[in-house]
Amino acid sequence: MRRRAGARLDLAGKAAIVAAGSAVLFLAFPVVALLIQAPWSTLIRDMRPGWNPLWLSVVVSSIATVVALVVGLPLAWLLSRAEGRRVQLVRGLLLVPIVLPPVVSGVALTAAYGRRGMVGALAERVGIVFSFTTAGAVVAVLFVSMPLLVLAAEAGFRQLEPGYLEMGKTLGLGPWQRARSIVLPLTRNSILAGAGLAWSRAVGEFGATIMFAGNRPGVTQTLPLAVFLGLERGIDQAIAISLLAVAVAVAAAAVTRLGWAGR
Amino acid sequence: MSLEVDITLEREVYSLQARLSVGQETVVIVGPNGAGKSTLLRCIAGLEPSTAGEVNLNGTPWLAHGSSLPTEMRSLGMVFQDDLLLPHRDVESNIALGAAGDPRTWIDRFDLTHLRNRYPAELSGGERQRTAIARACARHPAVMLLDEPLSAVDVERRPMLRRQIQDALAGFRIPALIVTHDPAESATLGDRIAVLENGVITQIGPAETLTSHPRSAYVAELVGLNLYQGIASEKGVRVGEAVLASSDQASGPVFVTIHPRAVSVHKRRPEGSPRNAWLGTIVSTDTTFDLVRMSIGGPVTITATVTSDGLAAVGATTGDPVWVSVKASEVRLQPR
Repeated sequence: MRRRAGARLDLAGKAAIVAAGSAVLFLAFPVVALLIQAPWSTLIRDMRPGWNPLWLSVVVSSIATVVALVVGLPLAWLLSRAEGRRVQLVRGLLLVPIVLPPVVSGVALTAAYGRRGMVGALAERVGIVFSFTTAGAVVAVLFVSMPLLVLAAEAGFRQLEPGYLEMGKTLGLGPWQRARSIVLPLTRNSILAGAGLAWSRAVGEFGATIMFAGNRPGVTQTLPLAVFLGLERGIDQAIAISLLAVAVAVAAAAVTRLGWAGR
Repeated sequence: MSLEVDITLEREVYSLQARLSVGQETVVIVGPNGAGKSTLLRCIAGLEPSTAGEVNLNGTPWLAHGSSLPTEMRSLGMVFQDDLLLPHRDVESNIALGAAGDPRTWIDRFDLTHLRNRYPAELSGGERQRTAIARACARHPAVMLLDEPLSAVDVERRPMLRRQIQDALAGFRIPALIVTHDPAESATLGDRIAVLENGVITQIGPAETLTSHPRSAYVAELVGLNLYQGIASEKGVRVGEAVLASSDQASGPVFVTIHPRAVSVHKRRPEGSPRNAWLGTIVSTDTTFDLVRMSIGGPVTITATVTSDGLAAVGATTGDPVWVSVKASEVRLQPR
């Protein structure tokens, strides 16, 4: 009996290894395929149309991440301190942009902040236009990426030992000094990780951007949009520009990992 | 300079009702676990909302008519049970965090000069606690609150730190409250002792008063310490004509404390060879609650506390000779 049980366990172990191996292969192979299929001899030329979108992506995503930090960190802080139904509701709302199909997010953004949108129409009267502008591209990626930052930062704030804040009060530190000298340094890793996640998500955003901000070269044409456009001119160009995106993704992942590792 | 406290706190599980006035002195708060000692300090600091009450410092209200001055506006220095040093700052910048004036004065006074560029993770428990105390002092507070400041420190390093705390407090001449559960600390650390039991101050006064007139069994047991002045050397500690063995390391003039509960009383010479054993005579017995305190004359006059049953087992009364023994680990030394 014992031997049969052991044999069954072995079988389960083998099955797990096969499953795990397949998962790793499945996940790793597409990137390897990109490298294999890349038009190495003409790579520089094929990449050329990707440089401007890459630059735009970095700028748009960075601005969005900074805005997410400015408004998202206070939100994360309040969420981490508060309890009750209304807080649960806000936390649920934060998940909406994460679970919504990005294309739907783009339609929703158009309804809200587009030229005929409820807020967009008002904004246009004071000269602020989001539709088909770089500002619009920022709005699109901010919508999908900020919740990631808020959730990661909130988790970090929750882990903060409350005694540190009490100690800060007994040293005469006001709220801003406590935030600067105690909270931010002690939760730095969670915030960095959240910012890394948000930035990566922003760089990868396609659906919401193309729906809300359009595909204007130099204005709203970010890296994923350039890949999509490149595909129409042939697989070589799409792969070459994709390799740029891979490089950015690897860099962003490294920064994010660094944040987690320092925890 | 005086701190007036009159606080009521009602919670589901316990309540606290404390009223005390602290001048330019150190009041040690003792009491059993869960009596509300830390809560009392937290109320005074404004970290714990009280149900009702008043806290005044020199007539300035910290808490009055339900309005509470924010903790950061109260001029206080607080040392928590946990040192709460910021891990990303070195010793010097931890102390500088809320400092009024040059933090280096305090770094020197607490012997942290050679450690000033170390991070908390690189310090021992005692060094961390010293840093935390120096940080609280560096504010030049008007009130000092210390919650078990010595509990995280090695036993042999406590006397030194205790003296540093006493020196700092003496320099400030401000109201200070120190929470402790160590009877030896309560006898030597403060000017007065406040006993907190079940959220109520049952007795407050100098150690002598508490010793001579304990108002509860807890007080009787807590403060009835045998306290001697002795001279410590490698051979042991000389108390009068006798030399006692002690596990504590010390040399020179010391306070010797022996808890009455640690004194064993026997009819015959104790078995084995306890290093501290002598023949004495019962001078007097005094029954408080269900404990018998007996004074035993001999080379060292000592008070022992035994239960009534314990005394019956020994079968001795006033005037009878008895053997007295004390373990070396129960003979506690603190430099004078």
